[in-house]
Amino acid sequence: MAAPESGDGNNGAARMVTLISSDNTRFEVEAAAASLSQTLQLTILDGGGGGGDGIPLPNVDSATLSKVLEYCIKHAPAAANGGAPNATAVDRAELERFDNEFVNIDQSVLYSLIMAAHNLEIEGLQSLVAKKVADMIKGKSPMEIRRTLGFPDPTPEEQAEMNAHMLEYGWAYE
Amino acid sequence: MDESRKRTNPSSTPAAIVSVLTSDDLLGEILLRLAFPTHLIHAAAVCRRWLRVASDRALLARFRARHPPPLLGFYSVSNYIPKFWRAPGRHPPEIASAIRRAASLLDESGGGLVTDVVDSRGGHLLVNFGGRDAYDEAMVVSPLLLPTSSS
Repeated sequence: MAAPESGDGNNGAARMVTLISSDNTRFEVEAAAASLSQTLQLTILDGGGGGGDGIPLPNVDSATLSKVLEYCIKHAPAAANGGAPNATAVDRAELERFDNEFVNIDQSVLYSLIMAAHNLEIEGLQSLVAKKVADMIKGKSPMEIRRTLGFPDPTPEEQAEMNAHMLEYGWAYE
Repeated sequence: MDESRKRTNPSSTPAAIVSVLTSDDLLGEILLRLAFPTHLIHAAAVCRRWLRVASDRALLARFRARHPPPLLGFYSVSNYIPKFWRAPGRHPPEIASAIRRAASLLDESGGGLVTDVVDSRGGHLLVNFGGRDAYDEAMVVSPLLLPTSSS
């Protein structure tokens, strides 16, 4: 980006860092994109991840990391604009389109993504995946929610508690 | 009981689903993004832990701030005849059922014995019960929490 060079360390705008997934795949990515992760931000500010070193991410496999970085690269420019207060409507619409498409994925990928977003503390991604799960369960009955998210079948005791709760809040089920 | 586990979980990530469901913070963030209080109530019935997370005061305060409760309508009383005025407009089914509930307090199914609605706070009403000739009795009722009767 053509942002004025300030605050971003002294290595220029396109400083690269290397991230290493749990299965030892190396990903080279712009520091600005990786810094969307609160967890990585300090390390990167301290100059970590450059050269041959790389930052190991023992909790994130390569398939998930590549997906996470796709998000970070797309969102880094807007984030660099301070949450993009001056972004155009077109830019915002494009990011929204990207986000919708981005979470249109298998449940298994989604769950890995949720964990990665949580571990790496990527705020925008956390919010995006949480919204996705919320969309999956909204309007569903408690039983349907359990099935959707892959809960085991309820024990008779759990079933009884569920029924009691549904009776108590009858109006919410009309 | 474990037989249900054979379903749906791709073998590559059996642990991930459990991980998602074991962090209260994460679950809270998901619940916050449900669109209506009714959705939150359904989620609360899923299991004990979800009930605990969904009942957390801080979470409920955030939920309320994010999804300000809509006005369902209001009660008025004249000549011992209380009336419920529904909020005008079209409502999503989640809100419409709550409005029916609020109104039903005053129909036959609600007893038809409310003579005065004195005050309201947080979904609770202070009402007087009793016929025109009977001795009125003050009572607190919560229309949304009344057990489902005939309707």
